[in-house]
Amino acid sequence: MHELSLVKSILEEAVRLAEAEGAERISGIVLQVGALRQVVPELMKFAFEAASQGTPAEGASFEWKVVPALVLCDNCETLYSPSSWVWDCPACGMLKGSLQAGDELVLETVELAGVPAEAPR
Amino acid sequence: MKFNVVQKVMKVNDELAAHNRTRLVEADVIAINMMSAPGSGKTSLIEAAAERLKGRLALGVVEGDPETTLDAERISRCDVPVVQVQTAGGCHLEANLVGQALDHLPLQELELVIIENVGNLVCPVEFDLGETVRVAVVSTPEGHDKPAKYPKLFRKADLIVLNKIDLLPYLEFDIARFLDYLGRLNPEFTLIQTSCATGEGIAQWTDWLWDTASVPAIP
Ligand SMILES: Nc1nc2c(ncn2[C@@H]2O[C@H](COP(=O)(O)OP(=O)(O)OP(=O)(O)O)[C@@H](O)[C@H]2O)c(=O)[nH]1
Ligand SMILES: [Mg+2]
Ligand SMILES: [Zn+2]
Repeated sequence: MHELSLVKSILEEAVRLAEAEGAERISGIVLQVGALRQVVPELMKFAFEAASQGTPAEGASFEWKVVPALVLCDNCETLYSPSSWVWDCPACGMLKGSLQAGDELVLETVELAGVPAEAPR
Repeated sequence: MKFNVVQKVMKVNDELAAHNRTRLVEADVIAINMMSAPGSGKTSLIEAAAERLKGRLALGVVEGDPETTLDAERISRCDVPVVQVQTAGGCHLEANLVGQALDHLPLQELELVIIENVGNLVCPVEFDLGETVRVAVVSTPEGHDKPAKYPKLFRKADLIVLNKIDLLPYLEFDIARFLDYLGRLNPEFTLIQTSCATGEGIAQWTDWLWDTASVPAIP
């Protein structure tokens, strides 16, 4: 259960951006979460809702995009998406490969509301 | 108004881990991140190694636990410099905690630092501490299926220790299946089988530590 500590860094980064832009509040967060990253996005959303209380991010939407796993075969360099915990190359059967995608945990976008330059007159 | 940030959520941890790594390389110290479920025998394996390596290899230890200084007390009885990190319920060590712990170890005098992570097979894997190598410990009562259930830890481990082999006669632990699972995760895995109760395999374990510590620390 390390989701809360991750959420705190997301919140810090979003608040830093909101302050830099002079925004009134943070209205949305979008993450990229790799399929093999051992975090539970639902738990992060829950933790985010709790941790954002009383901050400019209170009430912000919290969404994520799952990035599918992609493995590059060490032997024949075929790029494939593993179907289970075993990474067996569909072309040559090699069991060793390196992960090219699927381990992301990235803050992709922060949506801000009430940014001065953008504020309606 | 949408802002593209595209920044790793663990950026701060990664930076602190890189900083730890640099410090360790500068002090020519190899660091081991030791991970397992609670009670697999991490502290027992460190105690056994400390005894055998006494006077031969300058060892330091960082103990990570949610609460208590019990493990650090055990290690300090072996005459090894040790720092206890209490995570206050946290399920894993992070690079900042390890960095603070390294401040309290005589790094210049050490050759090897073993970081005993919090007992947990999932979370510790996600946090780089700045270590040189990773060791996964699994004990026989946990069952032969652990590599398949926790593939990320075992795939990334430089060494796997199967501990408590003295209990094999009493368990349904199927070693052939265990080896098969490991081989499917990493065909070149390194395994050492140990018992801290009988001392079996402890020589191989300490030899592995010795060999690992003898390799120059390259980032
Ligand atoms: N029979 C047997 N018992 C062992 C062996 N190794 C450790 N133990 C026992 O297992 C229990 C847990 O050992 P520890 O060394 O404290 O395990 P740990 O992984 O450090 O535990 P945490 O730090 O709490 O995660 C203790 O009672 C040890 O005496 C072994 O090889 N065989
Ligand atoms: Mg312990
Ligand atoms: Zn292949």
